[in-house]
Amino acid sequence: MAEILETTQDYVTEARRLLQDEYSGTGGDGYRYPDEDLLAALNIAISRARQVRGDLFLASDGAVTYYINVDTTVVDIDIQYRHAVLMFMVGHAQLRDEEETTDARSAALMNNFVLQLRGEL
Amino acid sequence: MSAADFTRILNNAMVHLPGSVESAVKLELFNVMDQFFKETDIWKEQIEFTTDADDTYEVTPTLGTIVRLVRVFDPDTEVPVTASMEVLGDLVLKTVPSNATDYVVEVSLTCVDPVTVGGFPDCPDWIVTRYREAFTDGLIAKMAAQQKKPYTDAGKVNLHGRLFRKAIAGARADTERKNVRSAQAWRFPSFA
Repeated sequence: MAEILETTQDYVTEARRLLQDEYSGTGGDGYRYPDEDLLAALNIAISRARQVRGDLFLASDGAVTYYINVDTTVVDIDIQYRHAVLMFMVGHAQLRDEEETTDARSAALMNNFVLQLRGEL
Repeated sequence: MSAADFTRILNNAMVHLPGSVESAVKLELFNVMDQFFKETDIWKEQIEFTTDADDTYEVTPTLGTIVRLVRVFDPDTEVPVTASMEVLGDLVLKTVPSNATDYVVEVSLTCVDPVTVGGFPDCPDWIVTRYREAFTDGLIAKMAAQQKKPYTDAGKVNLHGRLFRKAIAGARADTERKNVRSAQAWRFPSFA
C-alpha cells in the first residue's frame, strides 16, 4: 500500500502543489522552483530534524541520509513527521522570494516544522 | 524471548507517549529493564564448576551479564562457600579445597547487547510476562522525562516513576520469598 509522502518525488510534488508552482515549460526544468532547490530544502529539513529530534534517526544509528534525485527513492522519516518536513521545504523554498508577506509565511512554515517535531502543534 | 509480551509493553507505552518513535522506545526499554534487573536481582543463574589448585575461576553466564555475586555453595550439602567477585566474572575463593570439589556459583544478571532481532533485550520470558506492567510504567516514566519531546510530561514521570519504583520493591520481595505467597524471606542458616 502506498504511503503518504514516501519518496523524494512525493515531497517535491506536494511542495509544488502548496507553492502553486505549475509547469510553465520555460526556463530550467519548467518550474519556478527547480528540482534541485526543493531537493536541497528536503535535505536541509532532514538535517534540522536530526538536530531537533535525534531519536528519529536511531534506526540508522544517528546517520543522516541525503537525497540526490527526485525519483522513487524512499525518504526515511517516521510517518508522524513527514508533514513537518514538507512544511520546512515549502518555507525554505519561499525564502528566496523578496516580498514581505512571503518572508513572514516562510518563517511561520519553518517554525511550524520545529513545533510539529516537538509536539507543540 | 516473548515477542508478544514485548509488543504489548511497547503498544501500552506508546499509547501514553504521543509522537514517540519505536526505535527510541526500544532504546529506553533496554534502560528500564537493565535498571529493574540490577535493583531486584530477580534474574539469577546457577553455574557449576569444579575446583582445582587455583583460587580464581572465570564465570560466564549463558545469557546476559553479571551484576553481582549472590552466593557460592556446595550442591551436595548446601553449605555456603566464602568467595568474592571484585572483578565481575572472576570468582575468587577464600579457601581452595585440597581436592577437586564441585561448587555452584549463583550470580545475578542483567541484559546486555546485542539485543534480539526485534530490538528487544534478551532475557527470560517469565520475567517479561510477570512484570509487564512494571516495565510499561518504567518506560513511560523514562520517555516522559526526555526534554522537548511531544510526550514530555512531568506528571507522567512522577506517576509512572512511583509505580515503577513500587514494582521494583515488590519484585525484590518476590525474589526473596522465591515467589511463594506469605513465605518468610529469612530462614535458618544451613550451619545452625
